[in-house]
Amino acid sequence: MASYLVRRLIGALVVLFLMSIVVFRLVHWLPGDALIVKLGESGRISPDKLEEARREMGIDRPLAVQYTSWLGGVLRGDLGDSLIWDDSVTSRLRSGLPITLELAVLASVIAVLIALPVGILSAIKQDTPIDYLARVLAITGLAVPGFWLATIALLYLQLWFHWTPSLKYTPLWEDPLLNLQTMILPALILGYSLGAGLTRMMRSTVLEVLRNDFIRTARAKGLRERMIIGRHVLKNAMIPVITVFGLQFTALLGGSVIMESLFSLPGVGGLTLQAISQRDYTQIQGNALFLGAIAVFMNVLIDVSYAWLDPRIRYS
Amino acid sequence: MSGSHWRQGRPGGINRRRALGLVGAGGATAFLIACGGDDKSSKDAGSNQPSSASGDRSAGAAAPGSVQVNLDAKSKPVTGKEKIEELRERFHPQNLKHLAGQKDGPKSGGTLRWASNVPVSWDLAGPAASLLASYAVFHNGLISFEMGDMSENLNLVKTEGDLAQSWEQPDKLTLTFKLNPGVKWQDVKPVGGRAFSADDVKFAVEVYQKAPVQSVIYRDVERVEAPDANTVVFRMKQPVAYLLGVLRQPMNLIFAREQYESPDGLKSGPIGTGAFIYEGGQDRVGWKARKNPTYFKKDKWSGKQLPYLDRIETTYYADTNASLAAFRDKQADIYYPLNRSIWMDVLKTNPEVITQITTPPPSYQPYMGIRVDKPPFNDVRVRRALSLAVNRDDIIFGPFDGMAGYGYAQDWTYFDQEWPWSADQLGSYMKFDPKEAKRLMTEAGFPNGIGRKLEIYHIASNGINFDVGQLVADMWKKNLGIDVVETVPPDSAAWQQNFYGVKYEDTIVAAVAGPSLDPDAYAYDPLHSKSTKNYFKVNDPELDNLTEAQRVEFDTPKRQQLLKQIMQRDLDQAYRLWTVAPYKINTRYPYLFNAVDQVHAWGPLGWGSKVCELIWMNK
Repeated sequence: MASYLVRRLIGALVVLFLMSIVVFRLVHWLPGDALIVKLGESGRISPDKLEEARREMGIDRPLAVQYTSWLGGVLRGDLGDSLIWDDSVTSRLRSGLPITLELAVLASVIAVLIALPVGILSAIKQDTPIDYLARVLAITGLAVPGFWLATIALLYLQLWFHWTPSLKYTPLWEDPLLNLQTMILPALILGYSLGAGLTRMMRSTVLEVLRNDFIRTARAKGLRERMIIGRHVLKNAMIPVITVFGLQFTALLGGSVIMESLFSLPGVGGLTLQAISQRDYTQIQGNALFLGAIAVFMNVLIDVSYAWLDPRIRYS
Repeated sequence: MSGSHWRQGRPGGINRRRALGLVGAGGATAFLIACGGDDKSSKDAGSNQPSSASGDRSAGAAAPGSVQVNLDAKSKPVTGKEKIEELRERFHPQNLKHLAGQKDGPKSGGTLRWASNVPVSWDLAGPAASLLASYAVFHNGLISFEMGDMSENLNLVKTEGDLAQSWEQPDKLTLTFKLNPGVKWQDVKPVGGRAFSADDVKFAVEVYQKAPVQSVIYRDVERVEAPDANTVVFRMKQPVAYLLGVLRQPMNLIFAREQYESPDGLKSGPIGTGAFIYEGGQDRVGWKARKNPTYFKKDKWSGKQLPYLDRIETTYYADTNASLAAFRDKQADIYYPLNRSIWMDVLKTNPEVITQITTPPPSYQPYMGIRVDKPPFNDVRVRRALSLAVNRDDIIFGPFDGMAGYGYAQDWTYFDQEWPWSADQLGSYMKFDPKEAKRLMTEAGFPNGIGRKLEIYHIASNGINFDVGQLVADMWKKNLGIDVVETVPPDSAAWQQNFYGVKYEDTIVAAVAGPSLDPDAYAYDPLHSKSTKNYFKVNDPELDNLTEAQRVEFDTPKRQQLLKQIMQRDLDQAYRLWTVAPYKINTRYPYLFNAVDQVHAWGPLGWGSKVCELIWMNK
């Protein structure tokens, strides 16, 4: 297992390095730059002032020099300063991460709480009204866009109940109740959407496992259905579900831009979108590297979890 | 109007002499309005320009709160069918002084909640300085302009002192300011609440002279002197008439040397002499401020100490649905409906809100830049045809639901005109005449289209300006047979690159002209061949001469004449395609007072506004 992990780590570093080059080149192809954004309505300033400002921001240097300089900083543990904001890349990521993490965890918990029981029940009660209802709800969750659901929720909560959740983010440790009030609606909407996909995956894998001979044997031995499902079916059905869940959770850690916008949550998704639209190259690079590292780490974690779930799987 | 356009302001309490003077001025104003008089006031003929003289709008005519007004939809419904003339009359800012609650105030206390993010940088002298024009609550400049419910007319500009108590121009190369006594810096390190003096102004201006954004404002200033603690003297390299106008803008806020020279400099946060002290903020969350207990100003109407509010707390809303939901839920005290339809929606759920409709700002209106240096746009007949092919009434009554006037970015308030330009003030090529347009195109050698695709480079932000661009494209296709290709930028940065870098191929949709409180920015900047802000490649010797001449003309009527000539030449040559100028709609809860718009300033915490120091609440 140790040598497996080392190999994965080396592979991860290569992936991250290549990814950083691609991201760097892509964003520099976009028209406009950080100085243009900062100047805003001032528009064009005199050429000498323009050159001076570009020099101070470091964006007058050749791209290769800019990239190398940035990479040198990364190797020293410094992701650099934002080109637009008077703050470091790390500090801005640090401020956004707890919000995104909280939303991701809440949404994932809701998704699992929906998917596990509904998916299993739907499989056990295949082709019954319960199964049909579960499938309709799952399809609806997949088909209805989250932003529409969120807009409708905000609008009709206000129109019908004269209530809107607090749209000013309050950290969990400052006021847990107010924090929950702000987070619960986006978490529910995201969780429902994720849970829909997971439900379908759960249903289909459980159905597949239920058809195996060893399940027929277990029933023939007289084991109770609950024991069969809990001990034999679930573990075997979970591997694909965990893969999907892991990918979904990784995507959530990248930030749900739409939910963050609609509910005014200052998470990592909005931060990344803002950095791209502001041509904040250092922030984009930093975010991409960080999120890439998370994705790689999550993938390793998922792979390792397979070994725990299925003893037949061994990494050597 | 004769003599200098700039009137000295004297902040302070109202005494008997001053009150009598105001009543006398108010009565004289009412008499002049009733008798007709100067046709530069907004009595123009034309469907969009009725007289604004109905009723007596003078400041001294009736006691505040004593006249019945219908600024909400509860006392009198808003049907949605009203014409703009009716709406401007009913929701005119001068009616705000007659809100019933005015009798109870002003009162101290309360927290203003509003939609605002922290700026990208607090550096007043950095590249992002223009963005800080919306955060003028922490600092003061030398001069500013009147805002508040009791204002004479928020659709016009009335200069008043800010840090300066008075000013004079003894000759064309000298501008002298006398500062208010007893001003202190906020008690925040490293400035620490010390006394403010003329040296602070001198220092800040000298920094601005080298700053990327402000250096252009002070380019004609030779030096600044501080002969004593309360006097600042500007010595000019050459006479310029625009300086007082631009000094009212919120890009000239005064900061302290100690902060500038500290390790973090001005980026550490705003420390000024202003009404509020910054407490902190976070990107995409908002910011907080508390009242400055040592603020030097008193309310010139009530005589009471400012500011009234205890605190300001802002929230950042990334989405307009979220900001509307917050307003409906009273998580925010003010809201800006972007158009009439949204305003009507707000009134359905919150009929109690107070509405103010303000004349459009000349600086913010959809228009199109044209590459007048490239064929076929270097042919004036083609440019005129493009303009004649656009039906501006369709735009006014289409996406704007009637809440817009004809557009042209020159400050009509400089001509003491309250409402936007009327059709007859805008020359021969702003009317809709597709036949004449076609004839001109044929004469220019383009009987059907221009022989190739014409690119319209769209604007990335604000849906309604994008709609205008699309409408214009449709009109050109339909009326001139032009094969239009519409390019949509991925975001604002791409648009900015194309516009400010003059990289667009043919035409580009824009929404900002200026902004500025002096007509020079609407004349010289876009039209002089040597101007860095000439984004259209205009190269017209007549305009060069005229724009240079207005810069040095101190006599207001003569300067107005020159500006009118510039306007006529610009419109005659159709260097840019003008469309419409949208009215501003501001809604606020009835417990809030003085949270006004002014023609140039947006809301209590928008561009150019310092009105937060006057806001009070009765909750």
